[in-house]
Amino acid sequence: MTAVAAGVAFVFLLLPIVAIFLRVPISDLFDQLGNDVFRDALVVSLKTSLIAHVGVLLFGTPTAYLLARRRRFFGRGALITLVELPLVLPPAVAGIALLATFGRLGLLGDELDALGISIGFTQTAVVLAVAFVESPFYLRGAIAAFESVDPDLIAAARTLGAGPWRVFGRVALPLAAGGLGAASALALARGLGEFGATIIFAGSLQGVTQTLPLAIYAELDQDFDVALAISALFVLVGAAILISLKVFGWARHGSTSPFRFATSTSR
Amino acid sequence: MGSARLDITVPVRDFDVEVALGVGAETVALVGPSGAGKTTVLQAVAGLARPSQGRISSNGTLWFDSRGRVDLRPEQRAVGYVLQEYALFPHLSVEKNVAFAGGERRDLLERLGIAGLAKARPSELSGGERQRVALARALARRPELLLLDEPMAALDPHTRGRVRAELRTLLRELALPAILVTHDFVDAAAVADRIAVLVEGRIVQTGTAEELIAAPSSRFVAELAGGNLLTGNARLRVDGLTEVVLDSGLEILSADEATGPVGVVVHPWEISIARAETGDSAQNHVRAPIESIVPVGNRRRVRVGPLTAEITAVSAERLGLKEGEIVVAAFKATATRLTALS
Repeated sequence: MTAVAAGVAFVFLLLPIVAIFLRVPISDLFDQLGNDVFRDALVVSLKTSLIAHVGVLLFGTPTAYLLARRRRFFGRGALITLVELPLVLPPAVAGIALLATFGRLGLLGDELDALGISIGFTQTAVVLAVAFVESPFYLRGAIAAFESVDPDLIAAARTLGAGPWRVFGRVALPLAAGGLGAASALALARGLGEFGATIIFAGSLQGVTQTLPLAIYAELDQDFDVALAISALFVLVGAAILISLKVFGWARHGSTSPFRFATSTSR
Repeated sequence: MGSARLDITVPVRDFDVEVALGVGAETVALVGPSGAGKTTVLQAVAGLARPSQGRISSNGTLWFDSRGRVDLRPEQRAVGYVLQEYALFPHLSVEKNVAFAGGERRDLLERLGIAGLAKARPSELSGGERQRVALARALARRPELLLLDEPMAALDPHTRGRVRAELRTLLRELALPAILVTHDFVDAAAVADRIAVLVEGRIVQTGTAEELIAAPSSRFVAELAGGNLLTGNARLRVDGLTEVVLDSGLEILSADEATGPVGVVVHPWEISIARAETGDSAQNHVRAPIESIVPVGNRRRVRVGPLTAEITAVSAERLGLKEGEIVVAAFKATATRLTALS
């Protein structure tokens, strides 16, 4: 019985992936990538994802460290739940939420207007949408990574005269690096695939806000082969990320983790 | 000559740890069961746990004072802290671990005999080697005060004896104030100059190992210290000796003076074993079957009725002792310590 269930599950998950590559010969598929729509979308996607990702790392890493190190303070649970909320929200809701905040008629609309800033339907909007949606993925992984660093090692570093920055840079960061790398890769992948929040908050203007996932949607009616080609690219990039996580032993529960002996010496 | 003083109250989950202790250029062991608050004391001294009140000072410098609102951060206190299981940085080599406190310390690697392991990672080391790296790293801090948390617990029994002796020699040479935490009285007796017994956050007795074995203030200390402890009722005799009627009904004599309920302490090595009661000078003879014979190095610990005797393996063999045989355990009245039981 279980074998049958497993078989059904595998086929159900794998068949659609395989189908992407079977409809059109692979060589023809990648010829489609010379297409203008694809090229514009690739540039928009790379640019916005990169900026958003750097922002998420820059703000997310210290936040995760703080939340992981301070285990007991009032409202910690509530704060972590709040941080994780975008994870369970439909991306469309995230888009509406961003619009309600930064849109012309939004919460900060008047203030931004007074400063001459208009965010809606610009690349800035794409960056914000991507950052909003991917940050909980990074934060969750990063908090777990910092929490897995043995507190005794932090304590030892402090008694050896290291101030907070040195403790972070010489002990916490290197020991959490594996988990941080994994969280970063997963968040990046999630950001690259962002669709719902972006289309609502930033629209889908070719060369401006049209990212790769939006291009798939746009090409659906125009040229199905282009949509297929971009999808195939995503499958390959996604597979590459997962494989590199396994190979470099970055996945936290992977059996190849080089930091398995990190916390305890002789238990 | 350095010295450190602490007089602190640190709240833990079920009780307050209240400890007052002065440490000169000597090693003081805090001994007690797990959960007694031993590690909490070290953490408070290192600045990793915050006392609710009290003071901590080292060489006359205040590290913590709840009234004067002094509370130096751990990195500002000159402590060398060897944590439980050593907490070596797994991503750094031995050399880099030791250099973490600042600067290369070839001299310390040499002194602790780990220069040959300089490039090795902690995961490649044996328990004894890790301990030496942890010591070198703590000393690289140039501490005024050493804190050692169960430095022997992670070692196997074979290396333990050797490491104890090494640690004792090192601590003597350093002549730094040191607080050693252990649950093992033998470790404490072997390494420390003085022992403070900690139970549920309070120091119940302080003294040398000999003092604690000879005159334990409670059953707990007696059992910890490993002497035989029997209980009974004492009364003085006309001849100046004290007669104790043990709870089992047996009568024994002691040269100590006492009356009323007492604990009777006899060291295992003060008890001799014979096949039959002989005309020896010992006043006390206990006839009972042998319950167990446990080898401890070149000696045998023989359990006879309520007593544990320690005799040489050679003697045990000569007598051909076997479990279940009835023998006589003899000990002198002058080797029988009486202690008021609390």
